[in-house]
Amino acid sequence: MMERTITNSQPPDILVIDDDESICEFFQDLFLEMGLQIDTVRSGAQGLEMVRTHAYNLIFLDIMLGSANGLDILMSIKSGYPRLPVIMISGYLTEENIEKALRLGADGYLYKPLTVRDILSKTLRFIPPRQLAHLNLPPALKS
Amino acid sequence: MNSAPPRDLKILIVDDDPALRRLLRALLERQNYSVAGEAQSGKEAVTAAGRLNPHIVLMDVIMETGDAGIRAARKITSKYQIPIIFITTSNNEDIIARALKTNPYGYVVKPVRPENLITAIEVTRVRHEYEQQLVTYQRSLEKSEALFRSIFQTIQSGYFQLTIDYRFSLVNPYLYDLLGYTSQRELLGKSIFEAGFSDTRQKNLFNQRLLEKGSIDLSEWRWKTRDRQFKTVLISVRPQPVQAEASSPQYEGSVHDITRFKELEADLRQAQKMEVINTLSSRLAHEISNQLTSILGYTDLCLLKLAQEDKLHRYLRAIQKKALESTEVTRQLLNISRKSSSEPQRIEMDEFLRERIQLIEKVMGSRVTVKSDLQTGGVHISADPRILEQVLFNLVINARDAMPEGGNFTLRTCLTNSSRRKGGQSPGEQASLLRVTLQDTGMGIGRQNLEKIFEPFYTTKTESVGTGLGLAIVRGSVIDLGGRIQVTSRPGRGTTFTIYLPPDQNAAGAADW
Repeated sequence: MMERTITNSQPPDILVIDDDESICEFFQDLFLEMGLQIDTVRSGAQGLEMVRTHAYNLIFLDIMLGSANGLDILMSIKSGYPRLPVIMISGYLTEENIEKALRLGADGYLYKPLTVRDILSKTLRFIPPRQLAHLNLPPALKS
Repeated sequence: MNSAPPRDLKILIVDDDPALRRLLRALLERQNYSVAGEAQSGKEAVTAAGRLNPHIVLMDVIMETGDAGIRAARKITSKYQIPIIFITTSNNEDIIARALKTNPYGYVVKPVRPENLITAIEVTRVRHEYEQQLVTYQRSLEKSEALFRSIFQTIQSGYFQLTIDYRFSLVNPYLYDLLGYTSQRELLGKSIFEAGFSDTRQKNLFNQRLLEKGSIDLSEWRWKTRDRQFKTVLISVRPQPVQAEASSPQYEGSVHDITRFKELEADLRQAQKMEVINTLSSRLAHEISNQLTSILGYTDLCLLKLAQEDKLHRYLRAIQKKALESTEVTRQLLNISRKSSSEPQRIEMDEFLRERIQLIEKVMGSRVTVKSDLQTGGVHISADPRILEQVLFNLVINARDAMPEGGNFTLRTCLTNSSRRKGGQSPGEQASLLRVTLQDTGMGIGRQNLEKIFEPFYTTKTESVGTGLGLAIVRGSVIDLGGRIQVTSRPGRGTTFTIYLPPDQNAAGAADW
């Protein structure tokens, strides 16, 4: 189920864990444009497996993962890789859930519907500086 | 005669003549009766009767003091209900008449012939046993009567009997109370069509069914009480079984008031409907939100890549604008169903409203007169002020939109008992509630629409003005605050929203401690 967009031999930078196909597709297209490597998976179990086998710079994690609770996945990731940044995504994200996610170590959150500006502003913080220089950022965002 | 079987009868002998007493004792014992004792005066006889509790007293009518026997008999009869057999030589008619007035069981003339005495004793025994049975029977009748009277008086269901022309001939307190009368007398003679039914179709149906079948199975009907309240009642009618006389009541029946249950049922149905709608709404919102992410995201991406002066820029902005408006709708939808994480504060309602009167006037515009009558100074509620404000202004804006030609908007507060409906609850439920009333003199809402206005997406406004979510959010918020909201309206006359909220029970001074 894993989909990877390979542009060159660079290792993947970002993993998106979301059960919604359209969200995953959009992330792929967006980061492809930017020149970032991205993997997407549809379930928490697959996500954990990918985290175990790859060295990502950043994870986007849906808080409502079908039957699984995104907060549980967050807890698993953070217990194994406490320094791996995780950004939570949800349309259901209430203050209570945000609070819980942040207490569990989440590094940020995004409300659906997502905007390019929001996604990129969260993402760029976690991309190593030497890589940032090579990114293909839209002119409007360059500043 | 010696072979007579032992008889389980104790007899008291009263005579002032010792010789006669001995004679009587011998006679009785020979017949196997047992002698409980002897007395030689009236006074002694009464004492002995009380002490020895004989089955029968043989009483000499004439003792030393004239009619002492008669007086003693009267006392024993009334005090101990022991049967008396008089023994006398007297043929004085006056004395006989007076003796008979004490209701003796027998009257044996001296000289006493054994067979006369035994006959008198045996007749007395049988008669007394029979009378005892009668007394027992009467007592159980009285008990039963009291039981049924008590049921009739206190049962929380109506019972009635009707004459052949449907006039009440018997009603229990519950029924006359239900119909708004204060006594049975007020209702008797009135026809069930006069005092119960008001709807002509129901009257005809009731009459038709009773004529066809002679009875009516338990079924639902609508009654109108004397004070013009509508009640939903279950009625059953059957032929009156005790047809003692031609004028006896023809029918009897029972009435159960289920108005409260019907209301609760309607509330429950409404609540379940709202729950389904809320669940559907939030799923829908979640789904649409995902789609919008793609639409907005790709639009964003295009916008970022296209030069500002590109003609397509304007088109994409139009898409973006509409998509963003849609996200606002999904956000509001999610708001309805999500559990608010509010921060409740102690709010004095009157103060809260007073501080916002000016703002309300501004929202209403110059053509609407804003009035207020705030009567709950010092009463606090526990609520998030932002949510309370949202509720208030949602209703204010609705009122304004209902009065395009201007009018009056009145804001009232008062304390009220929680008795939403008359009857049907225990005194413990009578806690005070804070009532906020928002009344406009606008176009009003039709009865059919009134039931739907709290449902999401229900709107009478044109698309550009409302999303149809305002009142659904208001209702959700009020329920979150532990309250409830009601609406009454008359087309062309205006609409009144009434919100009941539980006051914060902490005493005003409690915070100082």
